[in-house]
Amino acid sequence: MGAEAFDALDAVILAEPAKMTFREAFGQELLGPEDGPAVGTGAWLSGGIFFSGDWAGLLRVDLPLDLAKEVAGTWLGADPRGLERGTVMDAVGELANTVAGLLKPALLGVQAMSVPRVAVLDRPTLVADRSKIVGATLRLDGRCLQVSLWKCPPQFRMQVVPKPDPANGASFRP
Amino acid sequence: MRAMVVDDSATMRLVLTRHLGAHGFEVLCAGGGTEALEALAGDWAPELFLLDWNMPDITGLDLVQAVRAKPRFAGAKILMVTSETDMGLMRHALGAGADEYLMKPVNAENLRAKLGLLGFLPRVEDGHGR
Repeated sequence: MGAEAFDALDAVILAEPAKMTFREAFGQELLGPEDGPAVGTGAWLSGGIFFSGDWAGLLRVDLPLDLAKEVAGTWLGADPRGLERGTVMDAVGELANTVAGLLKPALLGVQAMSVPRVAVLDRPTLVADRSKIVGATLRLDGRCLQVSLWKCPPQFRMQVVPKPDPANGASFRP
Repeated sequence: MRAMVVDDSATMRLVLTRHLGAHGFEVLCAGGGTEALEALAGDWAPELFLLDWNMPDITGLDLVQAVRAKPRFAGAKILMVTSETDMGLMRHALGAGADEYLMKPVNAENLRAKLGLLGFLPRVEDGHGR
């Protein structure tokens, strides 16, 4: 079931939960998915949710830092320039959590979702091996964001780890 | 009116506090079930609980059961606010004592509709006149 469920996914299916989240939570319309990977300079924040069940996967939502700050500001009704890094990272984690919840019904065989993890990257996730990663590049106000779903190896088991300090970021270690 | 928001996401605690505050609620937040239960050991008694499902310490379901085990909260309403879209889990929560559920993303309109269903605000008719 796992292989078939993953292979049935495409960028359009992957994009829709993110588009719905931005529309319902922020009143904003994401454009896309578009061909090609997300691009942009500077730091990126990546919110991740692990899925587990009959197969295991990792959903990532990558945003450039300036867009992440604006998303957090819109969500919190606050000036993005005054937001602390930990606050912005928490918002990205919650964004990933919301997108993952909306995507989950499309992931046949998946039962559980992890709590979010957020990492700081110097570029968006590289979506290269299409047999293992499905990606969707979306755009808001001319800036890219990316949603990607990674199929984890069969021996992967989600580990419960203490929630990391958002001020220090986190990495995605199974 | 008093409400307790329990969610491990600071973003969701702030968002829900803002929306609830707009309707006149006094809001107490907790970052997890353990913290919530410690706060509830005091005198402060909310009429409304908004509980996340997926939290690192105690699940939302466990928290529903813990709240319903306390007689002084028998009249309180419990609203699950969750990214979890598994209807079986939501039926389980409702069976354990939750009154309603709201699937994320949350916005002012869908939260207001749920507050209406729970009796805290005048009910809002949806497009079907319900």
